[in-house]
Amino acid sequence: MTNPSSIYNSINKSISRRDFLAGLAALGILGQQQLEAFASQIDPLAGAERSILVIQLNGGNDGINTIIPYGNGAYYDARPKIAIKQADVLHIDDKVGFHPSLTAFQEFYKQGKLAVIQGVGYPEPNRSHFRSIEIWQTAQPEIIGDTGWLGRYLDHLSISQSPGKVVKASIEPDKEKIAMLAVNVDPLLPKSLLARKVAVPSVSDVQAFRFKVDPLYQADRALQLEAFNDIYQNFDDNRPVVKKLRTSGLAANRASERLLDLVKGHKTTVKYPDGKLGSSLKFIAQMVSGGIGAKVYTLGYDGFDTHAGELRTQTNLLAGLGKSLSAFQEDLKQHGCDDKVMVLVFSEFGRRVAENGGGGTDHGTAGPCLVLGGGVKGGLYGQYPSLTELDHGDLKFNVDFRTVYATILDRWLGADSREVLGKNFDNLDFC
Amino acid sequence: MSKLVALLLLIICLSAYGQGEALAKSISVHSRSPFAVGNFFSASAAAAVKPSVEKRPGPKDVIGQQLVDANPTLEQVRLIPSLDGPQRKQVNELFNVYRSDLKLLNEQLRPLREEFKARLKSEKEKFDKEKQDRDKLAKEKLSQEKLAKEKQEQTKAELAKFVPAKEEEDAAIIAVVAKIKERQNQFTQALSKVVSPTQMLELEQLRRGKVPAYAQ
Amino acid sequence: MPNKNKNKNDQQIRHLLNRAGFGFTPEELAPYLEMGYSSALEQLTSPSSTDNSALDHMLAEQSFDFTNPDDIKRWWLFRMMFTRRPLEEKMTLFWHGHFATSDNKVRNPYAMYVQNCTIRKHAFGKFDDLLLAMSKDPAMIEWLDNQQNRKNKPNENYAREVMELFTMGIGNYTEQDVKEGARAFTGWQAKPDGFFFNSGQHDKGSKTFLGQTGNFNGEDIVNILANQKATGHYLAGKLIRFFALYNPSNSFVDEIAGVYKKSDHNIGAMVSAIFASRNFTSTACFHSLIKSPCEYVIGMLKTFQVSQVDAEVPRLMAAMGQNLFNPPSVKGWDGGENWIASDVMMERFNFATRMISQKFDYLEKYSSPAKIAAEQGLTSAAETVDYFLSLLVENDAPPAVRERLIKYVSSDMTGKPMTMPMTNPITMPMTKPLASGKLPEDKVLDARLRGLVHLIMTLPTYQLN
Repeated sequence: MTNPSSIYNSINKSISRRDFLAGLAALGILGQQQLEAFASQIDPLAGAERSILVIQLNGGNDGINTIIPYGNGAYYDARPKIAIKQADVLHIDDKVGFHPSLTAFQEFYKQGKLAVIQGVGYPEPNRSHFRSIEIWQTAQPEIIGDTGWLGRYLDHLSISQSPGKVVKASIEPDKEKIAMLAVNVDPLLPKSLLARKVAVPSVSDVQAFRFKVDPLYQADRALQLEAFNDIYQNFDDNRPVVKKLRTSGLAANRASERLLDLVKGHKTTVKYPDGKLGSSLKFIAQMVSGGIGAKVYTLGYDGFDTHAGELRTQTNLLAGLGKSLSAFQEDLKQHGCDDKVMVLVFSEFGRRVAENGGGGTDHGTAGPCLVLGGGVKGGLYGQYPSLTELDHGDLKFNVDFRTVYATILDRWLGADSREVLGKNFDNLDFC
Repeated sequence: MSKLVALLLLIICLSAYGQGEALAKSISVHSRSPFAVGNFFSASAAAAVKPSVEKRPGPKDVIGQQLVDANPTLEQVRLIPSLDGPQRKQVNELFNVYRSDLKLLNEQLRPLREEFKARLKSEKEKFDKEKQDRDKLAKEKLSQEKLAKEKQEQTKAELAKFVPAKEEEDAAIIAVVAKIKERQNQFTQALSKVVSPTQMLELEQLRRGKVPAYAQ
Repeated sequence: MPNKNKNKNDQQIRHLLNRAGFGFTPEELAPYLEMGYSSALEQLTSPSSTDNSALDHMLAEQSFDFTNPDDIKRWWLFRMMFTRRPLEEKMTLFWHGHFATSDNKVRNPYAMYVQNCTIRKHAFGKFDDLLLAMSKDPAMIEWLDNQQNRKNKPNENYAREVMELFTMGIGNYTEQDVKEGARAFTGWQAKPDGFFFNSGQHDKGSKTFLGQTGNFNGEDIVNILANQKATGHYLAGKLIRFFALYNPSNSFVDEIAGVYKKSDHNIGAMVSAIFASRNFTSTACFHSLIKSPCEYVIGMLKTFQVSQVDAEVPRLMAAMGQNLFNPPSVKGWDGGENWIASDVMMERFNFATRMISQKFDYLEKYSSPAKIAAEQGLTSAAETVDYFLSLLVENDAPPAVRERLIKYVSSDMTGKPMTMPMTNPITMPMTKPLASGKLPEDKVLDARLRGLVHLIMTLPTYQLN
């Protein structure tokens, strides 16, 4: 898939950083060893088989009841009804621990595969679901962006490598490139995957995702499909909305044929929990082990907007999350792929420190991010935000979410985070 | 002057006629308005086709159909407006017990049905294998006469097609289904002691789509 | 009228019907064509003066269980199919997406049904009335947790969403306004028989909200919000993007916001003004919106005169991204390009397949493609393609598409050209599939016609409204 000149291009990108670092070394700011260590982490070829799965917990997950500061009295003061009892918390250290439903995560943590990044957020937090999700997905808090951070990553990827299939160009060749660089396993495409050049298929049910004809006239399918492809590829129309429809239709068709073949061949003994999260993760495992070569998978998990009845709701949801990811990791391990996928779990914001009148909490600000899987250096990162020095009743962040993205882009995927995020962000050490 | 008057009168008449024409047209549009009768699929008032709504089909197998529970669900009973606090508690408890009983009974039924299915499958396989053997045997006979005779028997055997056993005639399955139906009936009785007939009627009204005054 | 003008006029009327409703059957279109554009416009924008008793009779003959989550969807689809007041249903759909409430959390289909009726009652009237009715609606109260909004522990959910999503939009209020607004709505609760004002739980104190101070309760908040300039603007923008254009000019939005003010917040006046505007009748407006799943599905059912709302339709619409009574969040459905992520495109294509497959042949009045061709007396491939392109996409397709479709229709099963006498195209549908690759000659035509209609309905321009 990669040709020599494209490899050279990627190396070029990292060389410029290397030069910068070499300059620093020359000034005695960085030692040669450090330089080498850093440079090896941006080896472009290392990204070849790696992928990232981004799971968005929709609604604003209560981070304080997920990574619980059970060692802090202020926690119990603020939440007389919904605080988790000390004895129930799954300890990480003597200050914080996991929600009791997350036994799977405690296990991952012990194995050193789970990084817990505390206090993640961004300046001037927005408590509207939609704006905050948009900020996380575009990585652009200051403006209303029109591409996603993953979309921009895919755009860069598609320039430097030739995609698997190139659609016959009609008017603007560049806009027609379609590849299985990413798959969205949700009915709706999240803004994080909006790109200028790449159309990402959204597939939530692979069996339904197939071009069908009248079941009694199956013999006609091949000819219809041929006509469909001819028409779509040669649809000479300048209207932007028509172009988007073309791209989407073609991407759908291409993707469906490929995915069906893949799913047929997959075998596993792992039992996933019932429900959408379980079946989506199973499908992703099929794609990863089947080798479609996608770099990005995205998934949403609904229900975290716990304004009321938080204890029961969150307990169930987190249990589902833990069990499903546990099955997922096991499945990948059986196929020798568990070190190739990095899972990022985040939510658009955390919730208020104090509980409200309905056994729940209202929209807040900072929250934890969890990173699991291949290449992760387990442990606690960032600082647990103070529960008493607050910003209008909410936690103050200490880790900008874009540093989490930058770390993944630079160190895991071998991309240039500055190109994707628009400016330089530090890397954390979780990978 | 008279010409002017005549002209004026003419203009007035014409405009009156024009208005009348427009009025007549608008009246006629509304009086023979297709919006008033029939459906849109037929130009005639007596539409031949009655539009309909297809319901989600129920279970297709006989046992599934027998097991359909006519009792209301907890979600439905909860909607009854006049249900008071103590009644709600009782209803919750009633449903809890009912559901756990049903769960146990279903857990008895499931393995029976699975066993039945497995038996059916192996019997079909046996039948198919026997048929294969008969066919094979028929081909190995050499003499014409014997062949003819074999063919006759083969035809007879072919006519005896595989008749699958029926779930609804299996004694063990019938027994458990009967228990489930009995429990369903018991529940209906118990519910009627907690929720009055008038209250059940309220639920019926909701199901039919009675709209409260503020929403009409 | 010269032919060209009449054609343009007819096209305008069809465009109007598509936007103000959900498509049309030929019999439904005829009276509007006869009326002419301005009368049609008047008819459509005065739903309350159109007799809808035919729909009521039809509804009375069906049986729905309004405590069943599937049945309420079928009920609403039935209404959309057979109503004589298309704009009333379309406005109800708009407001359902605006005051987006999901049964997923409410878990009370009956309450969702009542909310739908409440919306329909106020859909075309004064916005203040609708907003107040929604603030008191039991399903809404449950959905945005106002049941838990109490005097000493206020719950901010409703106050936030009512400003962010239902009236002014983001950026027009502060967090403090949210807090004060929440206090005003304390005690606004729901009981099984409707709205209940729990005065014991109501915070009666003084509040400062959007620069005004007083012992406000919910009604006062509704009043203040409805009178904000930002509200008129926000609603105008939303209505225009739903009915006319995705990217309206600022002056168009200002114009409709002006109507909001002048008409004392009358929604009907705003919608009428949108349809009457030159922005709406311009060519830039034609085929400029993407059909929502609702419009796509109902439009297709009407085109083929499927007289039965079948059990699968709500589920298939949900698969396309529009699950009635279950919007994905309080923001409703974003619409526009969000309707065309790749797998939902496939769902649309497969719904079209379903529509033209032999599945519905048993329904009286169902117009299979072959039946339509016979009724129209089409006798050549070119004629057939032209007719269906005109019927389905108003000829909005490049010439190459027409050529390719003709090539498809006039080829035999191996792709070679076939002569097309097109005599007696209606044949008995097959009862079981034949081995692949083989189709008897008299079935080839039927297959081709169904395939042709399917291909047209998968065109990018068929997804446009």
